Amino acid sequence: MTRRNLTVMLITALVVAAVLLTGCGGGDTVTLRINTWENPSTTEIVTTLNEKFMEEYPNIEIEFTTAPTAQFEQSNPLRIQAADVDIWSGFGFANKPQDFHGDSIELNPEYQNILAGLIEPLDGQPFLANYNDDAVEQFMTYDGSVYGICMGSVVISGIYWNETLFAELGLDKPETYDELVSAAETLQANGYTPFTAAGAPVWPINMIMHGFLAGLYDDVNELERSLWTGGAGYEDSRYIEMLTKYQDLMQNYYEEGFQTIEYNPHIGRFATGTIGMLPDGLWQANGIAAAIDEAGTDFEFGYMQVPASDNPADNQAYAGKGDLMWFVHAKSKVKEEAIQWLEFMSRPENYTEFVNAVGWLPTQPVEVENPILSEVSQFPIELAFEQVHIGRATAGEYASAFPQYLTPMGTIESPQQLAQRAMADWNAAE
Amino acid sequence: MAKAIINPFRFGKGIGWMSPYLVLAPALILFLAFQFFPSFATVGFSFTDITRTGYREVSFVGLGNYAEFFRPAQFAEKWVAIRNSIVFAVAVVLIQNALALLFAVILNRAWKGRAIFRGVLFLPVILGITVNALVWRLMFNPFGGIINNIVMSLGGESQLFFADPDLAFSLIIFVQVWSYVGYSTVIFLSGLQAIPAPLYEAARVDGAGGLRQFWSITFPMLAQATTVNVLLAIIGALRTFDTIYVTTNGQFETYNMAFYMFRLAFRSVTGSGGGRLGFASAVATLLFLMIFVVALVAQHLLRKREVDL
Repeated sequence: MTRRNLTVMLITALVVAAVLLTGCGGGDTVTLRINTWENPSTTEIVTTLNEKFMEEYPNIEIEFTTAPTAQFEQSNPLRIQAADVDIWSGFGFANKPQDFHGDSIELNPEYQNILAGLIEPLDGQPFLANYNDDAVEQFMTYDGSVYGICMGSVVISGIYWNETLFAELGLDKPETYDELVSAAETLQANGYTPFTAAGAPVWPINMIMHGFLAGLYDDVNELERSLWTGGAGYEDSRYIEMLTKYQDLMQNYYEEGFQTIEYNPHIGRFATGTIGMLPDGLWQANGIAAAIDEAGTDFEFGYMQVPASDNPADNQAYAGKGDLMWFVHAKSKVKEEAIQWLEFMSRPENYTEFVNAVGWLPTQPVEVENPILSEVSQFPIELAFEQVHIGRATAGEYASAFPQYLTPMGTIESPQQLAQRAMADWNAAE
Repeated sequence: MAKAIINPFRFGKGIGWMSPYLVLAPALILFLAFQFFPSFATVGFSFTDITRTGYREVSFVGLGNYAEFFRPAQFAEKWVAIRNSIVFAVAVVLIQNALALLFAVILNRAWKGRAIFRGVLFLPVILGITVNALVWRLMFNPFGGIINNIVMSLGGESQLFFADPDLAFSLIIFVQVWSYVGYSTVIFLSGLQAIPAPLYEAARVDGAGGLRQFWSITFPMLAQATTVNVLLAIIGALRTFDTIYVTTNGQFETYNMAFYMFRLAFRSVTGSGGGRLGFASAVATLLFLMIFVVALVAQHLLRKREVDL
């Protein structure tokens, strides 16, 4: 054998050995891959609980990954398809088909995953008994089976307000839209910024419209029915009123440049104490309290409904939804360990630790510490429009009629133009 | 004595002949797996209704996705994507190549600090488009971004930059040009350095000034470099997605065909599936055809110019 041939054979042998060794695991330890979207308080508490879990189960190593919401929505479905994740997060079940939707609708992705056999049913798991029956029924059950554990419910569309600043300026909590505008003008006249928001990722802007809709519609399902049965839909006067009022706030009272502010850093701006109000979800309450502590601004804050209507009685309900729900991949090779993790998270002591850290409304009968929860609990929480709406998959860009398309977030000047264009896209979809 | 030419595929005896194939194999396998096969698969998918989630069977829809793209009632947003692609490509090709030629001419002269300037100019190419776009987004941030601070220190009003519908698209073009001008400059520079010096000496003897020398010698002699640069800029601009994604995320109608395709493939529709991979594949195929035709025509015209010169 020549030296050259020997070299070739040696290189080949090394490559083969490297490939084989790469496939070798490290003993009996198994890896549990968990994927969720980025939310600082959730990430922190899940990381803490993961460490506790790994202490209890030393043979399980957790690979916990997070991504900003937009990237998560893009990458997670691909990871599910490739069985590259064992546990992932979605939201409490919503968007359930109704009679008027007909047969041609495309289902919400989690229902599609169930029908594709990608989500492990949890029926009969003892830890489900730890959850409130109505939460199991509303958020975790699809077609008679339980498919996940929903870690809490949230208000998605309310307004944090600086109580201390309002009191200094002699302002009361606004009960109507006129009072909200009046408060914003007083704040502005005194050199304060009335509102800030995270416009860069866009979705936080769209989310707030649900608070408006809760005040303007007796039942948001009416809007859904109208869209699917050839009614006025987005051209209904109440929808246009929502767009008009929201655009008015964004144009005249929102912080200059809010379109470039990122989500999560935006609460730091509210924590400076120079901004009167922050429209956002309930899940930011603990983060805001921590940001105020960190900034040393020491002010009291509250949370209120979006006072969309001029009649205070219409502005009582919050728009909400079931928040983070953990699913187990039906084709996971570590399914048993994944269910052990769900059981661990469902234990009342761990669940309480979790829900206190994130500040949600609990889905288990436990006591929760949250600076604004008692305030929120006094009012009804209705499903937000996004929880009952089923979009048309083939519809064009504007068929959602989101406020993001209106100036100053987008390029369409008037609510009427947006409503018209949205209905054109909606109706053109097959 | 003449040097022997070694044919790597006739290398050695015994199993030594395998060596070049073994060396080529990793790159070839990666190319086939991640470039060749997906490209063909995309064309195949464009005739189906495949979605991101696979709960229902994939159906063959023939030319349905293509017909949907051109359906008049839903064409408005597609026209925005096509229009933006064209405007973006034309602007990038013209500005990028004009600036690159200017920088190449400057760098072709001997002056102190030339090496540093060349390095700085090429730095964005090394950093990559995502890093460049992120850096510019920070610099154009209305809250403490350096550009806004400069504008305000000069007495100007605070600007929204990427959040300003009138400015956003122009700034995306700027970031794209910034990111690739160094690459085009290097190609022009190599072309400049290949021009024989005696041509300039003869021109000077004939009394030609600097401008005359540029138009009569430099520019015609750069025909090949121009062809390469123009083609690369056209292809690069038409397939740009990342610059838009990082800077505006398509807001203010700043999306082009490539971004539109991405959004179709990954967008979620409230309460519904979204992620229409089949339709997105049709858009990708149309984008490929668009790039192919434009590049072919441009190449034909530029090659013809090379021959004429």
